[in-house]
Amino acid sequence: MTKELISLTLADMRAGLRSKQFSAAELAEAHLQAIEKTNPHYNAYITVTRDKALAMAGASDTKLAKGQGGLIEGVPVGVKDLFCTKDVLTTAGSHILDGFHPQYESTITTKCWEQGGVMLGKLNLDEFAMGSSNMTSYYGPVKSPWKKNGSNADLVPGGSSGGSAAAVAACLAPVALGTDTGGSIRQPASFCGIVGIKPTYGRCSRWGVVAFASSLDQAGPITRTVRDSAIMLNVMCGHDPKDSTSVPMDVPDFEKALTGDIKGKKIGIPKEYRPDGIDPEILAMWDKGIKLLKDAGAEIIDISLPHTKYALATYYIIAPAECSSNLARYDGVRFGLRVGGEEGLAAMYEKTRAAGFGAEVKRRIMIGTYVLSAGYYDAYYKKAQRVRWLIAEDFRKAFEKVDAILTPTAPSAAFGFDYKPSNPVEMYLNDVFTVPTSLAGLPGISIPGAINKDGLPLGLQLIGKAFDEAMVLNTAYALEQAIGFNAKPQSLQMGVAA
Amino acid sequence: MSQAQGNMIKGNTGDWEIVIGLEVHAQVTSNSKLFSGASTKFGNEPNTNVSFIDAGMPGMLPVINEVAIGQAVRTGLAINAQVNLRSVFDRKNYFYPDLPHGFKFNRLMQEADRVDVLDFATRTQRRTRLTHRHVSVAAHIAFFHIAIAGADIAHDSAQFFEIGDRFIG
Repeated sequence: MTKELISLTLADMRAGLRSKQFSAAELAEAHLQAIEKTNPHYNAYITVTRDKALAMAGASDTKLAKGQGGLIEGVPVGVKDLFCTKDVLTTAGSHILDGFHPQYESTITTKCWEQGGVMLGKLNLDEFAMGSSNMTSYYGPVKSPWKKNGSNADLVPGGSSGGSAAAVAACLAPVALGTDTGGSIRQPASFCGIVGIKPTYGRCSRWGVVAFASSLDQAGPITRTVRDSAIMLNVMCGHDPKDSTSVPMDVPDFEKALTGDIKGKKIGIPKEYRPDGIDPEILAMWDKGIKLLKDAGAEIIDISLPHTKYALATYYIIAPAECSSNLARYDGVRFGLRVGGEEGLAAMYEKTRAAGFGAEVKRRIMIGTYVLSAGYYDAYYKKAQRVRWLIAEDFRKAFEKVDAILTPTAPSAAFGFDYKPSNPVEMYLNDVFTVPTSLAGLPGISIPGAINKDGLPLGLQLIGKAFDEAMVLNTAYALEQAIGFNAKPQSLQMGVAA
Repeated sequence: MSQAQGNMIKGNTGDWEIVIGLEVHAQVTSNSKLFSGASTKFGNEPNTNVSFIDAGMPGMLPVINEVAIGQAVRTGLAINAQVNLRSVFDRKNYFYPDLPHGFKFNRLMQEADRVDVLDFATRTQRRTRLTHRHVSVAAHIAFFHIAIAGADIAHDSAQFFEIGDRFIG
């Protein structure tokens, strides 16, 4: 029963709870037991909030018994540890936030709890969401439930929402909250054979989310189906007066948008997303996706996004610049780690930050400080902003002709922990297909597209116009039905999970 | 060296012209701070007029105080200044004990405002050119005693006009 319960989709859990086939308390307990049994292996959760989960589930059962409750009443939710949660340790995957228990609750998590979500705990991530493998976390790497055929070697779940993706793939949460700055929801969803959507910049409040790059950060859900993502976006989206960049726009019912009918819709295929040397299996998956959309009645249109090749370089100027400024507050004075202090303030700043930040975060702070410094600001940061505008223009022009754009999500399948890039840029290449969407602020979803010859999932990405998540979700829904992806992680089959 | 002789003094290696620049910080009248709802009331206990954003807590976001901007525009109109329809705040980054975020908000980089020259009639009826009138956030007040050192961040994020005459960078 436990194993069946935790492998249900959010939609099925919602139905089962409303029809009282099982209680929210049972559902929470089933997940908590699975977490206690397998999290020591996966390391997906940094903090498990057992007492909170059971208390919230009890409150949900009371509401459900009266036929009341919110959109996800009684459904367990895992939270990326970048969202501030009141009185619950919030780490951002960093040593420098040691012992930080916020006195406030982020808008997104507040919305989840208001709609009946049950908090399971805080999920591991790359430090300050900087990484594509979850290997930069102070709390150690997360292991994916997927393995290559015939191999017992552990693989990365992707990043930075690696704990979120691994937890959802391993049935340690039906849904998880993630954040996406350059691909941090979509790439791990792709690596873990599940669904992840980054909504339009401004759709979800950033209030209470530890900032990495403020002009790019956006919250979104990681789920096992497109419908579940639509349900979660109904919970998460909306204007927040506390976030001036959240947009005061009506939010449509995303679940109702899932008709599966995409007849006559125009789908753009950008030629720039076929770089030399790309894995032929990725191309085969992409071609199959194109064919399936065509079969479903969509019109396929070749498009060009000519500035795509500059996206990665642009991103790796803008994101570190913003991070170097946003992370200046971690100085050991008011919260988190403090090292030294006896030899004066400047020494304490230096020692705290030297000990508190990991190598990747330090690298980005240094790059960011450099590109913002006097004399280089115009050459790097300002120029990058201009190129960013050109990239957004590419999409704007393309969307005059098409309703959505289909691309692969990542240039490869998940890799192992033995993967040692010869330089940091090699790791950054993981984000080559997701970063342009982020720079343009557009919504993008990753859904499982195929299983490669090694038995690992590959993701397909659909990109939409700003605030047209409904179109993105419906196209993804149609594609999901057509692909019929039903592969499960080997670890689950072998019974590593409950 | 065409200045009036009264402005010159004799130095060892030549004559020096005396130029005096003024930078005036004037607090904007409003009940709450520029980027938070915390009170601007003077004289409260240290660290009581503080909100999470003032303290630079992780995940907190600034929301502009509409009243303060209204006051800035009114002031601009009163002194015959050019009021820009588009304004951008930039961050000035540095580490300091009275700077919880590690940066302060300024309007510096905006091109249209870079040389924000304002006409202003002084009491002597000489036309004075003002530059850089902008709204900025004050760093808080650091205070030190013999036995304890502390910082009052209640002052942080109160809004100020920074009014410099043309001799101030």
